[in-house]
Amino acid sequence: MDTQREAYRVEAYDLLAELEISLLELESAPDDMDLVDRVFRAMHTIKGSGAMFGFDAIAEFTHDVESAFDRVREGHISVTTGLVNLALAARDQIRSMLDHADDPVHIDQQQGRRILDGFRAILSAAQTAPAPDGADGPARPAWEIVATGTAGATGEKIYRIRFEPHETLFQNGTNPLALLSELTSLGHCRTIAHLDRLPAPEAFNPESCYLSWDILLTSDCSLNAIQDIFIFVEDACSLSIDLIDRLDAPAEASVSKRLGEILVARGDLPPEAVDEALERQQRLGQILVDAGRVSAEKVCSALAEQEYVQSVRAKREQQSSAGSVRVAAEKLDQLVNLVGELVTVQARLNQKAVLSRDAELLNISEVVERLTDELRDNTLSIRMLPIDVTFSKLRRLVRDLSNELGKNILLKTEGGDTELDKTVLEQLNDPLVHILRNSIDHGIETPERRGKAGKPEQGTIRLKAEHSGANVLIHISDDGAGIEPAVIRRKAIEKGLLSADAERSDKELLQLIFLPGFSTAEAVTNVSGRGVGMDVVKRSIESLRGAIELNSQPGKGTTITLKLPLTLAIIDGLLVEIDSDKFVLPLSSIEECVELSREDLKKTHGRNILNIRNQIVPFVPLRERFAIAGDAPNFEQVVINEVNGRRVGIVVDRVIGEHQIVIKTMNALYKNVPEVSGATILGDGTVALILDVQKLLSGIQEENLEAESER
Amino acid sequence: MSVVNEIIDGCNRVRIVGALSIWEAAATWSDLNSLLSAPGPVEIDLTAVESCDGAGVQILCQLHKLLAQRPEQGHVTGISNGLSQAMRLAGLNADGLPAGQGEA
Repeated sequence: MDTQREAYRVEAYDLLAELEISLLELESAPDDMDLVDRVFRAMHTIKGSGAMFGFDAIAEFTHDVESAFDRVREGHISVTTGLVNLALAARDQIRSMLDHADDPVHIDQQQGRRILDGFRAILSAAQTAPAPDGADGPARPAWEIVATGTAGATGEKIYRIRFEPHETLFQNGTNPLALLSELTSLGHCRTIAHLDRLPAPEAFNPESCYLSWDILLTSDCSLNAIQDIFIFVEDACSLSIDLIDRLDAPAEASVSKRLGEILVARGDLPPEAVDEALERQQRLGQILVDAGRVSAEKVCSALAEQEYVQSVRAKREQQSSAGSVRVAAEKLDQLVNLVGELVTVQARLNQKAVLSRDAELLNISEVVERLTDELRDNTLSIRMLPIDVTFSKLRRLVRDLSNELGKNILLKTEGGDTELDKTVLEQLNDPLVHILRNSIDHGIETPERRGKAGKPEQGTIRLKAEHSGANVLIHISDDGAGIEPAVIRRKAIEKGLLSADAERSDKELLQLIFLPGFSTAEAVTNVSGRGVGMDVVKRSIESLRGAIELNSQPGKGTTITLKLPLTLAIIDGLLVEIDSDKFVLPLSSIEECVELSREDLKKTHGRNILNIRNQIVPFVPLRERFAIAGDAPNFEQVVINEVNGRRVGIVVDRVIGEHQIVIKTMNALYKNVPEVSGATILGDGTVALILDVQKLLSGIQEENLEAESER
Repeated sequence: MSVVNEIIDGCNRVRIVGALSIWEAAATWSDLNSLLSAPGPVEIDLTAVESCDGAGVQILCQLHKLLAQRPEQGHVTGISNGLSQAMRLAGLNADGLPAGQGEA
């Protein structure tokens, strides 16, 4: 039972995430009945399954919320910002109830009562209000609303299309088979031909059309798309298109119709005839045919429709249950670890095979290598998730925060299908929240200030994700006030982070906002402005082996770009050697390697600066930095890295070559060695340390600053 | 389109060749009607029908209806792929009946 309760919680969290997205979309598209249905279904499932697995409080709480959205579906309640606010609050309350299901004292019961009172007030107002336009008498089911063409169409549906050409159809050059063929391009069709209008052979005119059809179409297309196919024969046929089933509706909301119901719905029979026939307790179709109320052909057609809807539903349910499998994240982590071990062992096997010069062994090693590569790629791809998961969470933040601050902000997202490793994605959430809060609080101006600056009152924040080699770039840009380098300079001097006479370019000044304790906010707010934001963001991104870049144009806006690796488990690295110690430098930041002779070294006069194609490049002798004993060779190698937009060299004895590196986390003893981000086991079994070049350089910079201040 | 026939061993073997569409519908039906009205058994070969539209499909339905009235005298011996596809698209089986009917 515990497993089932846990499964319910996992599913409920997913549903709540979807619910939040649907509600936010609904706020900007209040007439979209498809979204209303999505909200209703999420609430319905949370309630129904909650009651089943012992989450009675959640089921009870959700009941009124679900009822309210049922009334929205019926057209008795309109979607307003107030309703969306209340529904979002209910969503948060359900989440809190899920979080603290085992410890309910932490649930804010008062808040829960306030939310329910809100929904009850809405429901009671709807009961006393007159029926909305077009909703006289009993409420119309949602599918009817869709069938009149007022709603969007996303999920798959089954349409019944009755196409009865007039006898003159052929004479205007129309081929009905072409129309039927076009319908098949919209989705799966079950076509039922009717020959009952076909006259006796002696009265048959081959140039008149006597055939007619019922077509059952399964498609996610809209009603309009179907109507478009018949647009040129509208005057030459009788056409009716009905939505008879929605495949994304809960099964209980779409119980398969009985034969009598279908015949009545299709207008082939009055309801009284069905009642009359049922009283006789025989097979309905036979009774109706015997009674001459309907032709055998029409009964067959209706039975075909019943069978079709049932079979499509059964197939869909089978597909949806087999289409994906939910796997615990820990199991995936374990799989990635095992694949990492396999890659390491495979590298050893490969090395052994090369050394042994055994052709058969080499052959086997090559096959194992190919299979390992495929397995590695497949395993890593399982952990990849679209960044839209994270983007969606930020919509709520932007909405709530901009309302709180009285700002009008539109969040636009792009590249939501870009995939990132699950771990990277999880750790990306907090930095993105920090950046967005800063953007909303400091970046985007109030509508009044924007109006005065000649900007539209609504500010825009754009989130864009895109691939760039083995990295993903995430751009967060706003069209707000931008950052004044002069203000940064003044603040930095005030806070003692910069000497008054220091010369810094605008770009360098902007980088100062990533220093700990820096904030340009004029007033400390509860949103941001405590100076604990951007340095934390930078550290978080760097801990993901990523980089952050900031560009800003005063008055026009700011863009922050995050560069993140696709995965944290395996990286491409350059293996280098100092004496017998091996190190790995991440390949993503390496630009080139150059040779450093003793003569070149002498010319630097101990300043550790190289002139590469007339560009001054500082370098770090790693042997010296890590105090590795022994003499350097006559010709050393400088690996040029690009760090924070600057070129910096790392001097090593030898460059061994490129390797795919499976990262192993370091023992707790090494956790205070920031320059080393991990280790890897090489093919020959030796261990190589993976260097964090960014931290290596910032450590040196800090030491230099300390040394300067001591002087 | 052309309707050709030859009588072999007393059996009228009719073969429809080419397209079977609204443009040939009147002529085809007229030819078929007169051939089927004649006494004696008839075999209709549809393997040479190259293409077929709604009017052609309708003629085949009517043909099957007619043959059903005199099963001892006539039947269809073969059907082309193009015709078979057109019948399927129209929701009909090879016997010119709504798909699902008249099948075991």
